[in-house]
Amino acid sequence: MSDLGAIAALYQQVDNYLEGLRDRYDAASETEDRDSVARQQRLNEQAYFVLAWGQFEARISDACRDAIRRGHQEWRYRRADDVDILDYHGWQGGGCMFNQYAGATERRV
Amino acid sequence: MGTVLEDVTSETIDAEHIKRRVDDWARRVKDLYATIGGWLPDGWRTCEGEPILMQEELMRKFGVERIEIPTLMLLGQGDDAARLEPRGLWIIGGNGRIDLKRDGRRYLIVDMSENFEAPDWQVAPAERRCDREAVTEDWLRRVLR
Repeated sequence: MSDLGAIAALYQQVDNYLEGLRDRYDAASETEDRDSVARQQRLNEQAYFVLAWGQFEARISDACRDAIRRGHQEWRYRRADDVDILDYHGWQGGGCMFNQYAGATERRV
Repeated sequence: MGTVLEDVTSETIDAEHIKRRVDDWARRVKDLYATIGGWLPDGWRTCEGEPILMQEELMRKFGVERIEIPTLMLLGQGDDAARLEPRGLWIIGGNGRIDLKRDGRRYLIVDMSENFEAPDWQVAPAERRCDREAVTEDWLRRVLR
């Protein structure tokens, strides 16, 4: 989570630049260019949202890993949880993975 | 259809639903303009600005015709002015956003309501997006001061 402030600041910097560009096109009545910049702003916003969400996922992942390690001294138990969380749900199941992490954290912390 | 997230992830939405959402957005924008027009301090007036073309991704995906959404100018004495400009309906974390620009500052007005519910307009400066407050007459007067 420590990177969130830097991510937000960088997003704002890029968005301010694009907003200035958009204003110039708007003032010149160049509507196609203005709308093109607006689409870039939206894409930029979505990209930074995903980046911020990644920080959140990393935090949950760290908390789960810590909880699992605290809960089991023996490697064979920890391994089973790791495989279940990371391989079964896989990258495509981001929401499921999140629920699994959150559930695991709740049970073990 | 309850939330914005459901709008963009559901497999059951259709063009009719998207059209209803767009019409609802146009109505909410118009209503907010009317409300803000009624809150203006003495010496200020409103004037319809150049419209913005609305053609969002879901509209293109479902073949819903693009529409023009009006902007609103707030005109004070001399060069004193502000501008309200709709920026999008399907946005992250809200149910539509309108920007207000004044003197190089930008305020993001976001409807925090769920789909087809009564609007819950909240606003924050672009540089401090978490510092939200309700859109009220008091807020508008502070901005236009």
